[in-house]
Amino acid sequence: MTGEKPKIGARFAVLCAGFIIILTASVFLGRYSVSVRELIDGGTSVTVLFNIRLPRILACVIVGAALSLAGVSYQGMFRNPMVSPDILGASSGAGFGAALGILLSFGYLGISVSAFLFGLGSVLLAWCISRVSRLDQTLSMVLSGIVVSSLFSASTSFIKLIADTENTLPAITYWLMGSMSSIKWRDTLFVCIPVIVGAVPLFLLRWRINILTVSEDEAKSLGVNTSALRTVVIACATLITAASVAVSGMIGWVGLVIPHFCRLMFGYDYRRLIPASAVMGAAFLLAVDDIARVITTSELPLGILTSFVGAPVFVWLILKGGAAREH
Amino acid sequence: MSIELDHVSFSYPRRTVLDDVSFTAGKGELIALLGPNGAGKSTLFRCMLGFLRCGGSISIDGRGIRSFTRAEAARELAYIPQAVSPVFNYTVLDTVLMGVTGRLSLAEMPGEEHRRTAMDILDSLGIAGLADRGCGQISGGERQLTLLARALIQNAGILIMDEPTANLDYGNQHRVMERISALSARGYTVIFSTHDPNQALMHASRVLVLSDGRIMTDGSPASSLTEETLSSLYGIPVSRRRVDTENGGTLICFPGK
Repeated sequence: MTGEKPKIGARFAVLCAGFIIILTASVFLGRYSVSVRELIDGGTSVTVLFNIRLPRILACVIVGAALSLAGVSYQGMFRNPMVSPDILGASSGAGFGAALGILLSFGYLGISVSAFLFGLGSVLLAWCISRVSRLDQTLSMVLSGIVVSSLFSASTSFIKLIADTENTLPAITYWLMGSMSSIKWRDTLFVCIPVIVGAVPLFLLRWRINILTVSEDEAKSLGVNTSALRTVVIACATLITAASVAVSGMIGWVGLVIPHFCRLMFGYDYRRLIPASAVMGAAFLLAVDDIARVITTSELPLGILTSFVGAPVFVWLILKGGAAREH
Repeated sequence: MSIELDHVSFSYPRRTVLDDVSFTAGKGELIALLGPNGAGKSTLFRCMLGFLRCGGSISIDGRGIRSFTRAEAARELAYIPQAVSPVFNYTVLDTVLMGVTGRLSLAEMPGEEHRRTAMDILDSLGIAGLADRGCGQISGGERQLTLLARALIQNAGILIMDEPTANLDYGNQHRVMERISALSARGYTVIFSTHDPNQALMHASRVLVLSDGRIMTDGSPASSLTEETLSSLYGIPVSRRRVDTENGGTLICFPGK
């Protein structure tokens, strides 16, 4: 064997170490600084840590991993690396659900539930349309995803139009930009159950997701029931996307870009790609949220910061990755 | 291992693609399927693989193709498509390992034993050195051999190949055909489609000619591919000659008189 396998193993170890360092640092970073001694002594620090910081850190880990996992799964399933988790309308559906919830003053949990259900519902709608269609399954799914997605985006715009400009409109706009600043334990628990339910099958079936990336006829001839597998992958990826968007709002980048860089570093095999995407997505979102907490007092929305932080890092990776391929 | 087609037909709402196709492919046969574009070659393959519901019956060793699950069918039939440049750049080894999926349980991954078998097969095809290369970084001929290796690890007795030498240079066409001939000599039942009558004359043990969804001729290469058949099949005058070679002689055909 060549040195390819050990090299990938070492890279994964570095990625995991990086994640643990960011995770540890996250505990001590923020406007309310917490030192190790204060933690041992107890008091206010412990309250801050357990009631505010810890649920937020965990939510970042879960949402970052979830969006990245959903992205990498959708990309394999559609045989297209340019696909992001909102391809089938999960994000715009959830966005509409949240906007509707804010407009009707559903209350905090109500908004999340509404976002989650509309996220699931929009993908279900797109899926049903594609089932009835006589076009090629993948094509009809992408097309109906686009239609449903734009329908919900337009509906969200309509809600913004009729919303009260003093309170409701800013709340909707801020929600849509994505933020972790108001995360409480109940949100963390709310997101963790659907994400685990969706992520476990994706993790177990990760070898088979490879087969979905070859042409339909080839995949069938290799002994895979492609339509059943595709349905399971869509259901799982949608579940985790809708749950994530429901608590964090719209956070771009993670689901589209993280999988790319995992491919640059770990190759195309989903056996490695699935765990690597989850860890890298979690580490990235956590790091961006740390920056949001430390740098700005008014807390920049994550949807904006992911791009600000992500762009330079990933430009560097693009240049590095390109060089590595020539050797 | 034999596959039997009995009065197979297939049509779209306004167009008949296959009309009453019957033949049996037995163990060790190397069958070339010829026919102009649109004659129904790919549709015939898709019916044989159980992807399309067709009229008539198709059975493998007496068992109807429709009663097979996908995983069961993958143990009997392997499909080798034209090697196109892949969207996702899997390594040669990972591509070959995909062939074992039909024998794995739902959450199972290929193990060390599968990896060794894959390496042995790559070695037998002379491309073991490419195992860790990406399928996007190797030549078309090597990619076709990779797909052949993936079919071989399936351990299926029947190999169905859709234009296995399309897009290959002259040398690679010959190399891939030599490998395919060797496989049929080992007992594999091979059915391949081709647009090159010379390939059929040189390598096949039997030739099926498909025209407008019907079997026009079925027999030895010499008896199937006459000047008349080829001329009417492709709509141009075709001549056939015997040429002397080191091992006896071979038939070749060419356009014109």
